[in-house]
Amino acid sequence: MSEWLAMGGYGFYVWSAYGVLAIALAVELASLRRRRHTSWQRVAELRAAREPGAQAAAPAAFEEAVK
Amino acid sequence: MTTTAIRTGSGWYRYASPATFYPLAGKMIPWFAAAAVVLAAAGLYIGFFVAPTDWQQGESYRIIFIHVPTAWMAMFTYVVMAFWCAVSLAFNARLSAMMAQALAPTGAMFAFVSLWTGAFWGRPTWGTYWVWDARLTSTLVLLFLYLGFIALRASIDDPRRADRAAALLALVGVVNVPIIYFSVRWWNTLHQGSSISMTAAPKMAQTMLVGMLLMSLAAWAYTIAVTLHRVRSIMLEREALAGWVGEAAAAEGTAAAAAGGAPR
Repeated sequence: MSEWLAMGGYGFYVWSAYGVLAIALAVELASLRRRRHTSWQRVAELRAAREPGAQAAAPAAFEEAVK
Repeated sequence: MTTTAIRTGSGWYRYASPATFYPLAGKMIPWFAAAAVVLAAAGLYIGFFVAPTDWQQGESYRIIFIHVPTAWMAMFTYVVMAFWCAVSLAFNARLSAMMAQALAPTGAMFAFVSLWTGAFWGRPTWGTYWVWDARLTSTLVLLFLYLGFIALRASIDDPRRADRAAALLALVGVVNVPIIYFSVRWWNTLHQGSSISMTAAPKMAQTMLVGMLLMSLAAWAYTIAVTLHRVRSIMLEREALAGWVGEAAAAEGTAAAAAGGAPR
């Protein structure tokens, strides 16, 4: 196992390459999940602001909505 | 809404309507994600346990299984992004512009990883992490084009104006892709020439080639899954008040549905 990890002396280079790819994928997937969550939240806010009587309560959100 | 109704019956135009596209994209994501996982697992297994050690480069060459697929994907994603930009400019199509917007971060990620993996392959084989060679420099330009596209979009408040400005940038930048591809032929680069070409037999062992192609297919499947996921968020961000969002909220049972997102 440790011999395999050593990659014939090139372990540092091989695992630096693969490791950064793994980090990049993890970061991208986490940001996708976060973005989906925040965009649904924004939808909820904008739609709530559009409800009758809600304009006064949330004028900023309403202005954004009518734009 | 009327245009959507008119187009509904006429072939692929139907998929240009957010109401149809949003749920369809949602159904496709798990399939492409599963394909990416399976293909990457097979590719990595072959890459690390089946493919032989290179007689010249030893085990360091195993970086090829991520370096080449990420570099290909960075280039190809740019071409697809430019294609959607052209469609959005020509037909003033919102969804096409959103597709381009969704592709850019993944393209940038792959461009960065291809440069990074190249550096860590270059160090043991060439003795340097970086050199201002035509192939490396043009790939760096590709990364900057992606980042410029993202930054330009972010700097313009009006989404439709942002679409047009970013589309122009993407279309001008597309000339860089053939420069990257042919750089190893046009200039005397430190970067090696293509190991694979359409016209000649590949200059590598069969199992190495299979591992690399599996990883490339995995990169394709990953890019499709991630782009569809991101474009769905972009559609929600940009069309929050559209009727189809209410239907989507109801279908997904999200908080938005409870907060008045459901159709009234």
